[in-house]
Amino acid sequence: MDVSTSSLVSNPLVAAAIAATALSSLLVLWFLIKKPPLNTATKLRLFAGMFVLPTAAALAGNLVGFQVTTQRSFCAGCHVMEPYTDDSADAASTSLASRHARNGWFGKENCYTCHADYEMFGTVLTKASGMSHVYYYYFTDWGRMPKDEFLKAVKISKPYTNRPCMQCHSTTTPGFAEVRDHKSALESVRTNEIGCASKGCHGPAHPFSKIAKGEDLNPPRMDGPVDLTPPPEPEDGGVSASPTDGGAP
Amino acid sequence: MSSARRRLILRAAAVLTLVSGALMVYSMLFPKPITVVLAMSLGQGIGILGVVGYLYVVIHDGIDRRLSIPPAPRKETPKP
Ligand code: HEC
Ligand code: HEC
Repeated sequence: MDVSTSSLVSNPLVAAAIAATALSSLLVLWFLIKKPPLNTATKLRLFAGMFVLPTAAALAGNLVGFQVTTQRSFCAGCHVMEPYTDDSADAASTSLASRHARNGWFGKENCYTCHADYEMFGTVLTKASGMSHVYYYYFTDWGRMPKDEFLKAVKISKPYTNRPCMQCHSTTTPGFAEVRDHKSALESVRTNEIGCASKGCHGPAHPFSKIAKGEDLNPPRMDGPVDLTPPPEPEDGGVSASPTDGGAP
Repeated sequence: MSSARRRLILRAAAVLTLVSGALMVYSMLFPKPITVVLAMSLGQGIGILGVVGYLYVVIHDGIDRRLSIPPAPRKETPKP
């Protein structure tokens, strides 16, 4: 509800889409009720009511749709996601996902920022894949699962790459390179041989993910053992994190 | 195409437009996964179907008019 009311008040696109739809409906209702002769004036009015205004409304509506679908509250709309969204909303949580939920710019859409790669957004193909999740939720057993069962069953659809992380963490700042493990693994990180969010590095990203299943989909694949001792200095321009603190509280 | 048929298609198209608009407004007022996905897929499909119905009728109407009504020279009827 808070999404809807706030977006109504603050989002001019929503207002525009609703206004265009209202006008369009008036014209169409006029035609249905008054039954005017099919002359040029009627045709023009219907052109506005059935084509111009709905197209404008659809354009604005799609933009709103993309905005809405980036919100964490939208993800929470499917109840099986609630453990994830609750964890992100929990200010005391130390999971990587939750620590990305406190930023003023993208905190409310943190799921999207890390999962944009394959979720509802981006290319048409990935959008279709996001749609398919909604389909699974409503039309298959996925949506009827109890949450704890879901947590055990859900699996990331393809190995998580470092690309989403690197959209924000460029890996090129001096502070980043000062971290011992970063320095030694830089190439492997950039080439996805080592997952940033893998267990032992900064992952798992969610308290439930790997731990619940006792498996790591993103194992650090290094030839030697990874050195997991916390770095002495703060990393990345004052953002302090120790490589072992990721995930499970 | 008979004028009754034309009317029927146009009325159906009008109803489709209404349904499509309703789905979209509903999805904005209640942005849940199902409403948003329905509006952006089914809703838009229905809306497009409405436009297609409209264009079908209007184009047929235009063609019929051209074929059946020869452009008669307009004559001022003498006023009594
Ligand atoms: C949308 C941009 C964005 C993305 C994507 C992103 N991060 Fe971050 N990350 C940030 C910002 C901003 C902060 C600082 C957060 C704060 O202080 O509120 C941060 C903080 C961190 C921290 C330090 C947390 C702490 O406790 O201090 C780690 C570790 C980290 N990110 C790892 C990752 C990993 C791994 C990924 C990919 C799975 C990732 N980030 C994806 C922007 C991003
Ligand atoms: C810091 C980046 C980040 C954020 C923010 C984030 N995720 Fe994830 N998510 C990941 C990574 C990385 C994986 C895959 C590896 C893992 O599970 O740790 C993942 C995996 C998942 C999985 C599959 C779990 C599995 O065991 O394979 C689900 C479901 C999921 N995320 C949902 C969400 C939801 C919902 C949100 C928002 C509340 C969210 N994520 C926010 C990075 C993130």
